[in-house]
Amino acid sequence: MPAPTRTTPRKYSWLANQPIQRKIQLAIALLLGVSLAANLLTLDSLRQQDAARHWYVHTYAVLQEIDEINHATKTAQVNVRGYLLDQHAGERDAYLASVQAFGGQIRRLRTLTADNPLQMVRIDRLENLVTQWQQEVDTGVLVPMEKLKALDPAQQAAERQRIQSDYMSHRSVRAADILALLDQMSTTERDLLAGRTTRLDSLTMRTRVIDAVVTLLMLLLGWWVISLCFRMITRPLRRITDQMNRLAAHDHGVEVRQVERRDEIGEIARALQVFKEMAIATHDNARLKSQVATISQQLQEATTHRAFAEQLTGELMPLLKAGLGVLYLYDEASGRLDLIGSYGLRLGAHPAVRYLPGEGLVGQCAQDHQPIELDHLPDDYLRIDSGSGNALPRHLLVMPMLLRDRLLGVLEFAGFEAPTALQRQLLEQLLPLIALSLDNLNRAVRTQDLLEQTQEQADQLRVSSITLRQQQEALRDSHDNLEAKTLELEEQSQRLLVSEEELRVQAEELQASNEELRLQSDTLQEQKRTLEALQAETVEKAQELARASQYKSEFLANMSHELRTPLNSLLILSRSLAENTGGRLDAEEVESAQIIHDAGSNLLRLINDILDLSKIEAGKMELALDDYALEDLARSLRRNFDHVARDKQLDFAVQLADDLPARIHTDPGKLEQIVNNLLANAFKFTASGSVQVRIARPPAELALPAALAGRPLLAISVHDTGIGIPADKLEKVFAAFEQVDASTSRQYGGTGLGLSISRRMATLLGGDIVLRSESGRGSEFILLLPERSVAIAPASAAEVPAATAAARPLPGPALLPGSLPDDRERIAPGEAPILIIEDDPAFARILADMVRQKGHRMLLAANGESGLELARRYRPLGILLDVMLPGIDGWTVAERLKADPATRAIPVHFLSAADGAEHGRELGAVGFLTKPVSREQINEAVERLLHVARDRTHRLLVVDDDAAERSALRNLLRQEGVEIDDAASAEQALELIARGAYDCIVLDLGLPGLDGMELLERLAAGGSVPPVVIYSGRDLSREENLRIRQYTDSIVIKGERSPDRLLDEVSLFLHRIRQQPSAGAAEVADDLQGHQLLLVDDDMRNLFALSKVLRGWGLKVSMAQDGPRALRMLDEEATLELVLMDIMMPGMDGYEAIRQIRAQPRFAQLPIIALTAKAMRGDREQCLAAGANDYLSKPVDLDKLNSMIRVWLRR
Amino acid sequence: MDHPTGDLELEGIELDLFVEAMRRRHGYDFGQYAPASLLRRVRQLAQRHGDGTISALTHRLLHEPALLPQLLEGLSVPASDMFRDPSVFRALREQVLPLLASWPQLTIWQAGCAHGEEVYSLAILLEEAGLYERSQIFATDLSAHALERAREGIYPLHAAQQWSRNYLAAGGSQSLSDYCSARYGLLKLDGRLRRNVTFAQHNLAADGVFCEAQLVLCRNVLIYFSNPLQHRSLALFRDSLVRGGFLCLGLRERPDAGMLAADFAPVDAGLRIYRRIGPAAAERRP
Repeated sequence: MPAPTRTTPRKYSWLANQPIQRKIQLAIALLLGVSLAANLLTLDSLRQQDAARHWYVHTYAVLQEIDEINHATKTAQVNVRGYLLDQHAGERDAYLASVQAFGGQIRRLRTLTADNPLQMVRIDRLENLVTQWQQEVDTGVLVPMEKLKALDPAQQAAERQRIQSDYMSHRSVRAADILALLDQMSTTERDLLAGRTTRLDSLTMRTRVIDAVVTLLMLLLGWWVISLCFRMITRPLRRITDQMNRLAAHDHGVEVRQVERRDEIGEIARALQVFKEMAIATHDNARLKSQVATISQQLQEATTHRAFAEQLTGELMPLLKAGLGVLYLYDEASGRLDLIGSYGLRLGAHPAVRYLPGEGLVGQCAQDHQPIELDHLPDDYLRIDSGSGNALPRHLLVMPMLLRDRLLGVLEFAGFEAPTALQRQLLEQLLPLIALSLDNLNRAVRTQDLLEQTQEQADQLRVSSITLRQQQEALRDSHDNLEAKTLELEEQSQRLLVSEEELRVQAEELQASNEELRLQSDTLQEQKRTLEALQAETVEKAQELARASQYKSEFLANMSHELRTPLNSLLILSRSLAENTGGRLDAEEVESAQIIHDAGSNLLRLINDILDLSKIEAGKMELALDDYALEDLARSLRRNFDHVARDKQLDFAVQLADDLPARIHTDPGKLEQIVNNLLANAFKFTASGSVQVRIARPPAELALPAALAGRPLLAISVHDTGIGIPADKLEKVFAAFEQVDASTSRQYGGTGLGLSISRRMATLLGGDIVLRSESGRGSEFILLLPERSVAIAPASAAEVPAATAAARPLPGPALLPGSLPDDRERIAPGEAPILIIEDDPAFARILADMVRQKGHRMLLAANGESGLELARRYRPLGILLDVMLPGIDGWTVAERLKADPATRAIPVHFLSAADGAEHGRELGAVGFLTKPVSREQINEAVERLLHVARDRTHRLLVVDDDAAERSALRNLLRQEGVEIDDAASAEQALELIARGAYDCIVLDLGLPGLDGMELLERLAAGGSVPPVVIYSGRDLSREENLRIRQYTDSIVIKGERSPDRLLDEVSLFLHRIRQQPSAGAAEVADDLQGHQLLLVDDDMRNLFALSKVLRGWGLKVSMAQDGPRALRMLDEEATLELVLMDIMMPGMDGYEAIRQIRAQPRFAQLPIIALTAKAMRGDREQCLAAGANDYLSKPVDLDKLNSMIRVWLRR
Repeated sequence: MDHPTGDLELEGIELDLFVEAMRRRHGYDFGQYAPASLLRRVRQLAQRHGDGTISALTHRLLHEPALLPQLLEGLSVPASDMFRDPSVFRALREQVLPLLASWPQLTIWQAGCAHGEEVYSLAILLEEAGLYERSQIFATDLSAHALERAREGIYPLHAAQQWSRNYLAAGGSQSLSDYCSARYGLLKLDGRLRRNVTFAQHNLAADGVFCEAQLVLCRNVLIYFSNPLQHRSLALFRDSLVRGGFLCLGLRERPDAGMLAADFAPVDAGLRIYRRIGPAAAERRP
């Protein structure tokens, strides 16, 4: 409640009405003034002090100056005296200096005392005095003293005395005068000083007094000002502040005073008053607003019309202090006003629950949209009823609730009093809000209804949406699957494309090869058919032949018996008839018998010839070789043909040359047969002349058939002077059943078989018949015969063997290079050759062919020594051994083979012309064949050898220090035909190896004592290293690998699957031949000997193979497996002259290595040859660009390498 | 571009000229390659590098040496997969590598390594078998481009899933991602797989043997060769292998049975894995 303001304004003094600014100004001005006055006074006093001080200083300066002049004067005086005394130049100079100073000093003094006239006068006087004195000194002392110099010292002293006395007596001004004057001056000054001092003292005293007074004054003034301030400023401010604070604390009853003052305090008070009123108004407003807000909020919370009405009336009526209130809702749809709530209304007191617009006051209000107010209600209008009583309201108000000119409802209430302004205000503010809330409520209700409808529909929707969602999920899953599958398909299709391509290529290839195959098979079919046909023919023919030859043999067999038997009888009987022992036959009959006998003999001869020929042709003619004396031959010939010669009256002689051996080794019977035949022919066809037989060496001019060349021959020549043989018939004579012409047989008889038989027999004996003839002049048949006939296997009778016999070369221990081609160069590891020791080349050739046909390599030796050597070196599978050998014979060979442990186990099969099966078996041969032998027999022999060889036991040595390991290996490697020994240390192993050779050694590297490496080195030093399989439990470094590679390339690291490999390697080694290095193709050239090379290659196989070849050429080889090691070696060994560098290496490749070598200046000239597997054109350039001198492509042509090395080493 | 049948003869001439040009100008002899697949690839190259005719390509070949590496790449074996034909790698892992463990040092030659997928597969195999340290792998190919790609070891990422499956099917015990890293849509194989691998150019048609290997792999290269060149390559492999060494060819290859039977015994003929039998060429000239 606002407090009542003061009715009577207060009156304030003028000062109080002054603004505060002015008040303060006045106070300060006052204080300042006082202070100023005091300061001025002080200043003044200071000024005076200052002046006084100034005069002090001045006086002192003057005094000082006077003093100085005093001093100078004295000094001058002393100087003069001194000078007078001792005539010292220094004194004189000092005096002059002092005198000079006078001037300046006097001047200064004058300046200083310019204000004092008295002193000025004195100074003038002083000056005069000084000047005078100076002059006197000058004339009296200085000048005469000068003149003293001319005199001598004694005189000088006297003179000086005189000058002094002169001066002293003549001077007028004395120093003392000057001094006295100066004293006067100083006294004057001092007096001045004293006067000033006194004055100053009095001044000081005065100043002090003034100060004290002023201070007191100021204090009093100050206190008064302060109290004034307090009253005028501070207290009212405080009061105002107090009031403000109370107002701020919502004390609206505070009374604001001092509003009449006209200074700032007053203004503040007035403003405070305004604030107070504002605060009150605000407070009321706020309360109003909060009421409105509360009500409207509560109204908004109502969800039904009923609640709404209850809230409204319940809240509003008490605020309006109305005793009664009713609320009608306007329903637009029906145009009706319905009662929805009431306050304080007794139901039953005819409440009007509905109105139509225009009906009653409520309707009227509704219609007009205007409030209706009624005062002074009649007594019986209505009553406000409370529990303890009732009364008549005095005031009625009906208000429409409008929202934007739309009627929503009507509010009616009645109270005892008319509503206050505040209440009206409340109403005013509230009604629109109520209308709004009501509207909202209407909407809300409507919305609720709609919502319920919607919810129903929503439920239905939900059901169907769930179904839909399920379907959607299913769809999504399948979509994902599809995507994944599509991706896969894409990838697969890409892959398919690639493999399609390949398949296509493959298919094309297949097609192409199918075509080829078809063509081939067609051709093959053709060929097969042809072959079959031919085969059939051949079979037929063979059968025919077989049949024919069978017939022939049978025929021969039969005929020779059948023919001979009757012939025998015929001959015997005819003979006996011819002998005519009974004498009963006459001469004609005897002759007939003789003719029969002759004919029979002829027949017999013919039959024999035919049989002979066919025997020879069938290959069944055998030679019975024996020694035969030539003399016997000659004798026999003479015996046989002398009478024939006599009969025909021909000359006949048999001559034997001198240079013939006594005996020859041949078949005597056949020889005689041949010569007899020749002679018979000779006699037959010679009518006159002679028949000469000459046995000698073949005449030099005779052209020997090639096959007989080079052997010691005999020529038995039968020379006749008969009809001769025309040139064109020369060959025909040897053809069977042919004579020169058909008429010859009629004329000369004979079957025509003789010559052909003779020739064949001659060939059998190893010779030939040569014919020289001229038609009409005679013929010469020369039988060429080797001194020593050899039994030739009939099947090759047609071939003339190559000459070996004459020069039997004594075999040296070295192998004969290239005498007979055999396979020693071509034996590869794992191949088992068969050794043939046979000196007869033809037979050896046959054996060789048979061995090769059986698929084995063959070694050939023509004598025992080289045979043994070959056996030792190549350890053949078996040996076919001839007994008859030059040098040592076959038995010896066999014995030696057995004696040598290296060759003991090799099976031997004998082939001999002589019999010796027993001997052979004693020597442990697997078989013995007597020559001549057939192909089948040879075949058999080879088979037997192979069979035995296969069955031969292999020997294996296991070296490991671990007993368990040894027994495990034993189990693993156990096989048929393998004998296993074991050793626990290298020393043991060496012992065992010395005792007998092993086919394979399984070696562990880690052994006690000597280790595996050292064992290998020992074996290498001792001769040859047997095949070794290294079986190591630990990994090996590259260096160890390299070292081991020298001896073996078979290294197995123990592991899970290593037993398989070990078994393979061991089996391989057990069944193959020990390798010996073949002699290098190129000869050791002297100019390569001793040079040093570096070989760089990561392929160890190459490294060893190439270094072996290089060492074979006499070079010293260092090896490195990669670029860095090569560079190291070049650093360490300064004697390397050439580098062979492989290009393709891991890590640092060859190009890089070469570059690095060239980068060092000392290797700029080192020859480097690059070895590369690459053969492309640019590779050579690349090698050269990197710095190589030359290059070779792999596989390396050794000849080229040799010449290249030679070239580059020479440079 | 369609090639009507009438032009086939003409194309044959063009192809021959191209091969001739390649041989005389640069020394690479493709005359022994299977004609049909060569033709297809040359056609593709003609499309890519020219106006589609082989003659235009020949012209460029003769006058632009800088084009050679790309042509070589186009003519050589196309890209492959890691652990391609996983059954083969499984067989290698289970049957071959345990045997290889008995050699102190391993040299492995992969001929025709293309972009290197198989080399890295092999390296992984060796690593998992604990044999990588003593191995030295030579990966060779005709094309320098391909070797470059192989050296980098970077492949498109979309292949990774398939390769991972392959790896597992080949018996891998870990995961392919342990050996590679993926970024920017690319897969890069670890550098440590490369440390014992030497990449080098080698021409199976012209060059010779350069190493002594325990295992030679040459997969899906021989199918592009004609018979004589196949023989030559097989001879090279035979000469490069040690006694008991292994040869692994591609599944589609059908090598000449005669040649194989002479020098090789099958370990698994269906997977084209063979073993050298008969004597090693120890005594042959180096």
